[in-house]
Amino acid sequence: MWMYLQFPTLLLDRMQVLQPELKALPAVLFHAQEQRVMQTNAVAEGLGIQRGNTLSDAWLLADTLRTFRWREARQRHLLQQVATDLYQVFGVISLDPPFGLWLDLTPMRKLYPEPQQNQLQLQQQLAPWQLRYQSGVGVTPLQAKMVAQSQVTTVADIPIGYLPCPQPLQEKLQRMGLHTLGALQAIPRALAGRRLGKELVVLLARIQGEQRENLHFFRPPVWFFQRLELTAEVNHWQALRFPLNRLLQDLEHFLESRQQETRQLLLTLYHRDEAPTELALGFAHGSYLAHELAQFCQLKMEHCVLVAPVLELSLQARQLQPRHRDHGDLLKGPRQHKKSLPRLLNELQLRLGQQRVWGIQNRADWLPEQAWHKVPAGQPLGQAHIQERPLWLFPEPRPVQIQHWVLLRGPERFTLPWWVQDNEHMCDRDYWKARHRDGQPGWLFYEHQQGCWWQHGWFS
Amino acid sequence: MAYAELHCLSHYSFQRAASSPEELVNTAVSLGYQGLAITDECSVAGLVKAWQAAKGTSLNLISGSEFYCSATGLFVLLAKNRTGYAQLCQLISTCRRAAEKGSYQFHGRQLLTHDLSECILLWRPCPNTEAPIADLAEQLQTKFPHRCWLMYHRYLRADDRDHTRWIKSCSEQWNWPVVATGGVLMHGEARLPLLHVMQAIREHSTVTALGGARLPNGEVCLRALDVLTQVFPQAWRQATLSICAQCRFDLGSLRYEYPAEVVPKGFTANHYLQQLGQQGLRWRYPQGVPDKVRQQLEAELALVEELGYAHFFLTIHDLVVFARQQGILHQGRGSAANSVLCYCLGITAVNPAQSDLLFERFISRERNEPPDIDVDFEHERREEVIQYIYRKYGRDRAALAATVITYRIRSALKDVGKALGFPEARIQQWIDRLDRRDQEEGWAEQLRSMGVMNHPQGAHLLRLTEEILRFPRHLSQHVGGFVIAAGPLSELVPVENAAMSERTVIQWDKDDIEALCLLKVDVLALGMLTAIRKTLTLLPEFYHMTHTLASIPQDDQGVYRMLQKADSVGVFQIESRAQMNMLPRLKPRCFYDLVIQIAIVRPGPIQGDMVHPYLRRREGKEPVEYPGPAVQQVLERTLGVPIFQEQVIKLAMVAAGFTGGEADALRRAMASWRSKGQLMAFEEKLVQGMLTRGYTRDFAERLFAQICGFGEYGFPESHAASFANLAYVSSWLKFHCPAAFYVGLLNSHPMGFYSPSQLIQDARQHQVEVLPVCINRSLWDHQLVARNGEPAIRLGFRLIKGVQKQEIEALIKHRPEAGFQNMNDFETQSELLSLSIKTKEQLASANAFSCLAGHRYQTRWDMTKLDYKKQSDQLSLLAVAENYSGDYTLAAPHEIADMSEDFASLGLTLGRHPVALLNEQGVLPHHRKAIELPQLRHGQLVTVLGLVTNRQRPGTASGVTFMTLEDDTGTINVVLWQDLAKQQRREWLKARLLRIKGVLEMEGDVIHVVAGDMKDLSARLPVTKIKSRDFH
Repeated sequence: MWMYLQFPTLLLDRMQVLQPELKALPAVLFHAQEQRVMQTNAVAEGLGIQRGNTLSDAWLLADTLRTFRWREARQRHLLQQVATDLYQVFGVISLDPPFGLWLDLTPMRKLYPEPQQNQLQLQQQLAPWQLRYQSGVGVTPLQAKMVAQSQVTTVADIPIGYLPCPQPLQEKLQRMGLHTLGALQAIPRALAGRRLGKELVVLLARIQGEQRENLHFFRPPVWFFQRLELTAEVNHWQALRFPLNRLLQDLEHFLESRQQETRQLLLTLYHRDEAPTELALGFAHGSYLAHELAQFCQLKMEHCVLVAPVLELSLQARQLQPRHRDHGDLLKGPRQHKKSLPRLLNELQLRLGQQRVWGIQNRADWLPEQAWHKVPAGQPLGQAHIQERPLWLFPEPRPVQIQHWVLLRGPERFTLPWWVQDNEHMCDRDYWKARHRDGQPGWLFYEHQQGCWWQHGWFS
Repeated sequence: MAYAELHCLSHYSFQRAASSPEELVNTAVSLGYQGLAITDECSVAGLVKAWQAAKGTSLNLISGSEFYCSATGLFVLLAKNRTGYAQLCQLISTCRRAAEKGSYQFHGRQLLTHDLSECILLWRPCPNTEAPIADLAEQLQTKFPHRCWLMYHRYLRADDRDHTRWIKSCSEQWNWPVVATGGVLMHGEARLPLLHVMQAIREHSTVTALGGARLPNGEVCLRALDVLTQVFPQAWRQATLSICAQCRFDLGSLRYEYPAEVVPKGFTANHYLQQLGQQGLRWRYPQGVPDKVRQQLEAELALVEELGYAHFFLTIHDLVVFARQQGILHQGRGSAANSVLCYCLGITAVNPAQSDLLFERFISRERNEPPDIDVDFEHERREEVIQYIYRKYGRDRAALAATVITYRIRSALKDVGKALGFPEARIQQWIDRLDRRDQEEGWAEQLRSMGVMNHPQGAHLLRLTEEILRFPRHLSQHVGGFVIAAGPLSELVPVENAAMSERTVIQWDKDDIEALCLLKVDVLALGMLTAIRKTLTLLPEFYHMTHTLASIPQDDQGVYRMLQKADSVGVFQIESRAQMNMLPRLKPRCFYDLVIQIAIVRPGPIQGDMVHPYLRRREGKEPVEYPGPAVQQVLERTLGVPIFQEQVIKLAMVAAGFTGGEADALRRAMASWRSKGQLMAFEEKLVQGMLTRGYTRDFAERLFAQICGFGEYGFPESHAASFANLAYVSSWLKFHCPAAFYVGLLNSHPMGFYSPSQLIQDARQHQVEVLPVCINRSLWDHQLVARNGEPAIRLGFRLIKGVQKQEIEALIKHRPEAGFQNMNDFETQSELLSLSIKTKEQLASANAFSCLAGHRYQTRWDMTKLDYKKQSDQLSLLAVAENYSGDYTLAAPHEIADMSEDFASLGLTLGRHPVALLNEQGVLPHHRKAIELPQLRHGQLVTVLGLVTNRQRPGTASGVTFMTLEDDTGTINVVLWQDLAKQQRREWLKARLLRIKGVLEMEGDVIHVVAGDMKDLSARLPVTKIKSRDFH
């Protein structure tokens, strides 16, 4: 006996849990390429927006529509998380991403002889998720799935439209008056095969259970991932220590039981409106001890500022390895290893804070202010060359007395970027190579709007 | 200090430059330039506009073009004279024809092989090239003795010094003189942001991401003379003047020569036209020519001779003779088409005897307008006429006019938004939310209310979108305007490839052609002509009469009575909901009433609030008065109310004191409706002019509002008259030969306003029997058949979705005369013809086999077989299947399922109406039927329901939406105010079956329901494939 769970609005439901204010507004997830609605919330449905509508129609129906891009990968991941939760109760699960999953009820029979007990367990496990779902039970996985999707009471009543077969075949059947599975099953199988093809015969056999379904059974991930919902919003790091320790304890338990250790942790902080903050922590060598990892996390966290209150916290450890016996200090690493540049950067960032270590990227742009800009440290640097630029550029231009200078070459005229807010009026600068009366060559410009001279740098 | 700009691009160098030719010319004039060369990239598309702007100024406008070759550099060619211009056009044509639409292929070496003896060459050689440019320089100097210069640009950039050195060294080495040029891309520095946006659009990038590729400053504009003194050496500036002095070509000197082949040897064009006119008189008036007509023809011929338009009429005559020989129905329209001459030449079928009101205009001697004749041909056969033109004149002498595709609000927002770095999805959402009607006007306000200004670039988006609106994006082909020349067209204007293979377009659009007084022949396609021709061919057999467009009896009062009841489904032009609403009010009684009917339901008269005054005067409720005899002469035919575009222009002259030239400018501004700004320039003059002549401000302002309305969709009387003729002919056919008329219409689909389903409903309401598709009796097309002595319609296979015409025609060819006797008979034949299973299945579902077999489910089951050839891997399975001897019996469809199948395969049903079926099942609320409405009271509250067959939001009726509901007894017209449509958007947009509670409004024969509340009942509908025709 199988049960199928269909989550028609899994991703949007989840978003509404994380952002409850969405529940009051019409909201949809849309397919970016097709510009069609994929998932709708209750308010949007009330206004007549349905899955498959074009986004422009949806806009016509709801002025205040909130639209979000549908991301299949995210929904698949969510489905896995739901399955991981259900795995605590149901031993045999098979995913049917991105919208559903099967539960094999047969092994559960001893535990829960009454069918209602399964439902109860299911409700308990899914309650915190606050998901909309449709369930269906059948003797084969396909039957369960079609019942769940169509919400009919008997298998024979399943409309042909729910058959997992190409649309032309569905249409063909309907155009012969075969509108339900029952009507189709009444036709002798061999005859149906002769008229309608092998594909349909195979499908019918699968539906009946004469041919086994090739399902991949869900195993909880081999790496560690746990997500914790905080009871209250947290505004500062100190308050995160406790829940984080709980996760680290679980991780220690996970690693201990597998005789493994980790060299990398990914700590994710989920906020209400902002994108989650991800903190990747790499160690010079592996560890599995919660207190050791906690110490390290503490070091990293002290320097960071929370961008927004944290609602949830997750911890992921993926690169697991068999445990090593001896290792040195967690931060310094084994003595004999020379530090690589990336590791040096890591440590510098750890000690000085990420905000204080940068790379400089030089890019082709006329305007000196735009020609240099900061990039995260460690990124490969491109090269761009514009002639006649001084080696030493001031962060801010300085006013000069022009009578102290002799203009040598120019002008080179730039119009300041009009798209930058503080340059509301277009304004030109004329740059000159000039010599100071002390003999040094400098880079000056005349600002047309203000009518005065500035120095922007020194030539070597 | 004097200067001439010799290198300047207009926005016709698409996405490269940011000013119009007019802006460039006006700025050059105000800066005091001596000359300006418009040198668009491999194009002269902007020249005519520049020439018009420069007319009457002292600016020497030079014709030129820029060419880029990555190996050798940038070249500019300037025409010295007419020959030089022709040489330039030929080079452009060669480069354009060698490449795909929109691009060109050029190499510096081509300058050595083309004849460019009357052109001046400017060159900016590439500094970092591998190519042996010194050799090229030497050869070019030989080829262009004393006619070649090096171009020196100075943009105040870092590489100025290197560039100067390079040009100087080239000049010294090769002994070429240097000339200063601006490389102008905009008329003023303020356009720099737009230029940056265009750069980003061209590079598929954003303004910020362009980085070093972005123009650093605004020096590519037309600079003031004192600035030029600072940036260019005097000698190089002086060179611009000597070149300018050598270029003396004026576009206005282009003389169009007519193709000679339309005049037989031994004749002059005028003589031949006269002869044809006289022959035509005898042909059109076999009973004797009325004196008035003969005099009119003579007057017209004299005018044609005086103005030299004989070739033009002969060229069109030649086309219609071809069409007549081929049996292609056609009709001319336009001012010159309403003439005795065109009637005699067979260009139009509008009989001058019908309404002499129309024939006073013809060609205007005062206004220097070329004659205007468009010829519509049957839409399915227009291509034959086009091919005839190509055959007759050759592809080098005939080409289509261009249409300049310009930025509209959606494309502008999309492109500017992308260039400013807005996410595409965001822009798309804004565009989707723009009101479809108000978008050209109130778009900025709408965008603001959507929160565009919250974005840091929001203000730029709005400003730059406004700036780029109406900028040209690319050239496309005109719907049917041909330019035919006596010699190679490419000596007159460059020819380039169109998107359609084997089509070529010239680089000028219809306004340019008109400005230069070139003649174009409009060869257009019209679906109604196809339908009428198909109907006319049925008349001899079934109605024992023969007719042409011209011979349909005039002034048939039965026809007008039918139209007065708004019984006009399928009729040309007056079939839309708005027109149907007007018919019972205007109550047309004669041909000229139809002309007015067609013209009055248009934005012009409606926005000018001229409709109601006209109706009141017509009904005698208001006296017909004229402010003076001059106005009376203009407005008499329309009871003192201006209806037509021509009247409005004449009024501007007689009532507001416009000169002929000003009136002509007004007409042009109206024709190029995209630029409302141009029209606004006339407002003050018009209103003031009328006030001083004693007219009321209210009338003057309404007249101007009407002019603006015409601007949106101009509708001159001359076109209305030709359309009225087709409207009358189609009405006559509908009235006298309804069955044939519907067959003609259905066989010309897709066309018109109504779906086949609606047309067939209408046919049945007119007691025409409609017979189903039948495997033994149907043909591909619908047929007229005799049934109990009456003509009936037998539906054809073309109605069935998804069947192949070729297969069906083969089947019909091999169908036994007495038809197939049984299914085996059919199967045998279909095996022989290898009829596809899909076609057979579709035939079964359409119930085409009902005369041979049982119900369609069973037939379809019996038809369905596997395609053995395709599915060889199924053999083992088949082996099993073969052992099963019996077959299977499927349940017959019930009535609703039958209907559903009908809609799925034919898009209509001949069975009972869905509303009747649902009523029988008792699933619908109590409601009034269409047929009951005339018996009810005006102002009564009613509940009606039906299938939604039409949704229309006409541009003429702001805030109103029309809907048509169809029940089993007829159609119900619903009027919906915008507020309700907005409140109940879901119902209005989506419902297929709708219940409406509202107030019944009756005004004479006009009945409609003003909706107060809507309810979507679509869920009760068992059929999903019912579609509404939506126009919004």
